[in-house]
Amino acid sequence: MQPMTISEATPLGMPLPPVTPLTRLRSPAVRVDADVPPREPPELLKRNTTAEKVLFAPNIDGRLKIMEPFVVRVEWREGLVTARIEDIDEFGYGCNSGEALYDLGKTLAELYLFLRENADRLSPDLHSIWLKLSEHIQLRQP
Amino acid sequence: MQPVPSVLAILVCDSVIIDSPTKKQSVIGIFDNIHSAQVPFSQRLGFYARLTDAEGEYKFTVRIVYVGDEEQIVAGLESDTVPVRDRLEVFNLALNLPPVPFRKFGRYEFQLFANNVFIGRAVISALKLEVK
Repeated sequence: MQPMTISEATPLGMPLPPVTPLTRLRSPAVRVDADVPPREPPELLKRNTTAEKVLFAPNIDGRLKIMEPFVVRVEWREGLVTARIEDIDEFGYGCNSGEALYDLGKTLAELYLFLRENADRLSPDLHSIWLKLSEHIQLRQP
Repeated sequence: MQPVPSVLAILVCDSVIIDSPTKKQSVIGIFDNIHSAQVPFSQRLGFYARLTDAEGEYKFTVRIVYVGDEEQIVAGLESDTVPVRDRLEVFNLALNLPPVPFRKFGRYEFQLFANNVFIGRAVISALKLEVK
């Protein structure tokens, strides 16, 4: 077996450059220090998270993008939190608002993909939901 | 209409260090659970998000919500206005949060908003430290 030679080379066998390469960020960081003087808390921090309206546009599925945020009413009801889009009467639920919003996102993604697949044979009700969903959600470009 | 930013990653960590000359960020001590022998306690934390698909001016808000038996906003922070020129640009939000009060054990959700639109979240748990 040949002895291994240790030399000044990278694992790919390329010699090290005379000057170490520099890595840089394309865009500067957005930085907020903890030590900034206290300001009036934003309106979002004064709300009750189980009784509020939220503009909702997270990543709900890798294939989809919410272009126009949904207005979601978050409510506490009988031991569960619901997140409801009144326009299309779709909702998600969970033990807390985070779970309810997550569940709503999954419901929206499944519904959008199902309606898209069957767009040519939808009942008038479902067609109307499909049109409303399409105003908010688009397929991501591959 | 202004595009809604897409979240590529959200990390909760001990702190985010920004190197002054290069402006590069180092995310230090990424974690999911925080252990303490007792509550209440408070802890300084870092919050890091990588975003894209934005164009225009945005204010980002991080809201930390205790999502246990009674939900409660325990802390939060709002950024200054951030201009984003190119929609294809990937940019980072690096926040060192003021001490976050943990009054109870349980789950805490870090919710990220861009111009008041909910765009993503990360969840950590505050757990009781078992001393052997």
